[in-house]
Amino acid sequence: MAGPAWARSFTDDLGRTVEVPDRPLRIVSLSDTDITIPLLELGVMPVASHGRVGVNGAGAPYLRSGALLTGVDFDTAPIRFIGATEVDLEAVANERPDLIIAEKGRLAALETLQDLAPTVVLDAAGLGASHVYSRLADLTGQQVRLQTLETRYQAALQALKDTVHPERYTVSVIQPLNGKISVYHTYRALGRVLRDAGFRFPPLIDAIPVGGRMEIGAERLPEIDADVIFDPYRADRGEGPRADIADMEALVPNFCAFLQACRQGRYVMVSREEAISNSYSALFLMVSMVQAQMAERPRVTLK
Amino acid sequence: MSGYRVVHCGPLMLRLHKRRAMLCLFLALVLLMAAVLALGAGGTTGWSAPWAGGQGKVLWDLRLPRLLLALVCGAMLGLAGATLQSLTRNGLADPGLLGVREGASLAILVLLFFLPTAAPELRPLVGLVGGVSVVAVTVLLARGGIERMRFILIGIGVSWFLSGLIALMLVAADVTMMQTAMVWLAGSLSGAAWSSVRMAALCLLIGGVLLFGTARAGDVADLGDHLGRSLGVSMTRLAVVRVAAAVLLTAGCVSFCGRLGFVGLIAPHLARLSVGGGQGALLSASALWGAVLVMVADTVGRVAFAPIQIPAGIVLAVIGVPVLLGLLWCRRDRF
Repeated sequence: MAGPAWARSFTDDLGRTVEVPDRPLRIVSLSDTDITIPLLELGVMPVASHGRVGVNGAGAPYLRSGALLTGVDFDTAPIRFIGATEVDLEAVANERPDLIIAEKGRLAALETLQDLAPTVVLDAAGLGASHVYSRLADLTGQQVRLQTLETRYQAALQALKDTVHPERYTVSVIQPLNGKISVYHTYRALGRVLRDAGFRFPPLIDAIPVGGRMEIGAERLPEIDADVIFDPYRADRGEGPRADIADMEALVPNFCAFLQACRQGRYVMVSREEAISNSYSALFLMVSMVQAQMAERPRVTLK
Repeated sequence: MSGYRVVHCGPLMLRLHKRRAMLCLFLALVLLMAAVLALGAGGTTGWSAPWAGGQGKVLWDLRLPRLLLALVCGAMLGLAGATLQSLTRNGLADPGLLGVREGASLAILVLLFFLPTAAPELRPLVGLVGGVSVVAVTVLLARGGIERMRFILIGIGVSWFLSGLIALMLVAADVTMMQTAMVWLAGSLSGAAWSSVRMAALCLLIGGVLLFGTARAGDVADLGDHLGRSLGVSMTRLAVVRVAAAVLLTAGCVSFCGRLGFVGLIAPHLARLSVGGGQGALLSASALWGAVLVMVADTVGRVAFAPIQIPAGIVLAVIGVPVLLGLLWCRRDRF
């Protein structure tokens, strides 16, 4: 059997030059949300992937947002689960990969991985989803598929702009996390849609470096007030928005009273599984959600 | 002569206690058998004899370096723990006592956060620099009195200060970098490579030579400062050499596999329980017990729930607490 054709050099996001196959056939992904889901959307099925383990007693591994956004998960596709927080290097080796793709934030044992197969590292958190899709399309030869996805997204975005006139509104995305209120410059798919559409953000959020986040105390809550506030809640634990609202109440009792958006019924709870993804499916969903929430609606006058 | 036997090896002469030597040999054999079992244990493929063939790359490039690193780092922690417990005459002392572990951890975290592209080979050097720097600061603050309780207390203070800095770094860190940092801090051997095994073995060799070379003086020092001095032992020089060895072993271990707790605390107690004797026997048995503990913890973490990997540091903490409580119960007349 002929070996892979080492057609070219590829410079990854760590600045390393790696010899990669021209058309990789056995890709192992070391990040479900940042690498596996984008690969699936580009029409490439990795042979193995990092995943998560159920926390509701089921214990079965899953791709975060995999079934929800792509219809693909470990139990529906021939993708081998290779570990959660830390991947099992022996399981990676057993898959005989011809390309390993890692995300900078889940980087471990790079030297050992490189011994198993060409390993490239992409910086999804720092350089964004567009960059990762572009690099993945380059690695897998799926530029045409990427162009199709991007065209559809731009069309949806234009429809949102025409309907809502985003420049007129301020928005912010916040979430209670580990006993603090986290705010992000751009909250993944939701944040990207809001910024691409041209919504305005409170100065505190605009001051956060691109790709960054900050944690604020209760006393600064009014500084993140906006016309509409989005709060991504965890849907994968079966707790629903109520748990997230309870977390906010624990942090700032009666928090709604401090936020004009909340008092006026414009504090929107969004499923984090969709909002946090970097996928085009999530972008389409977020465009529709924002449009539905912010489009003009008939006013009802009660007598 | 009360169970001792003198062994001649060229110009060298070694005095061995026959029963303790046999016990150490037995412990080494148990370690060897456990190592063979661990070498054949695959997480998703089950157990197969290492010599059966067909798993060359996994065995040679992944499992063997990881196993050897576990043995070497376990031995390093065992030796460092035994030394610090002897120096401080405190059975609760462990390698984290002087802030070496925290100093090495902090230095490597800085490397991970600010130079994530740096070669992994740099980590041990950076960790050693961090660990040694912390001890140097501690010595300066203690005004050179390395054998005094003041030195230990300042070390504990520095250790807490550095723990605070590490916590601060983790809180302020970007969430994506925190993932890598947390796994490393939890004490993981998954990144083991032959280069790290070679460097760790060198640290073990240097630290081991220093400690075993001063073992007899250490026996004399155990009699007390006044008696030790009157028998011709330079207590300060001995303390400097032994602290330097413990620092090298601890910082080296942290650099290769993160913060592995409990080993340095428990291994010397297991050694005293199983073998007993003076410094030579204590150091040998502590190294063997340390190697056993880390190897077992890493193998359990690697295969028990594969492909889910549990860092050895977490397994050690889960196993370590019951073992520590058991030890305290068994030796309740002493503590």
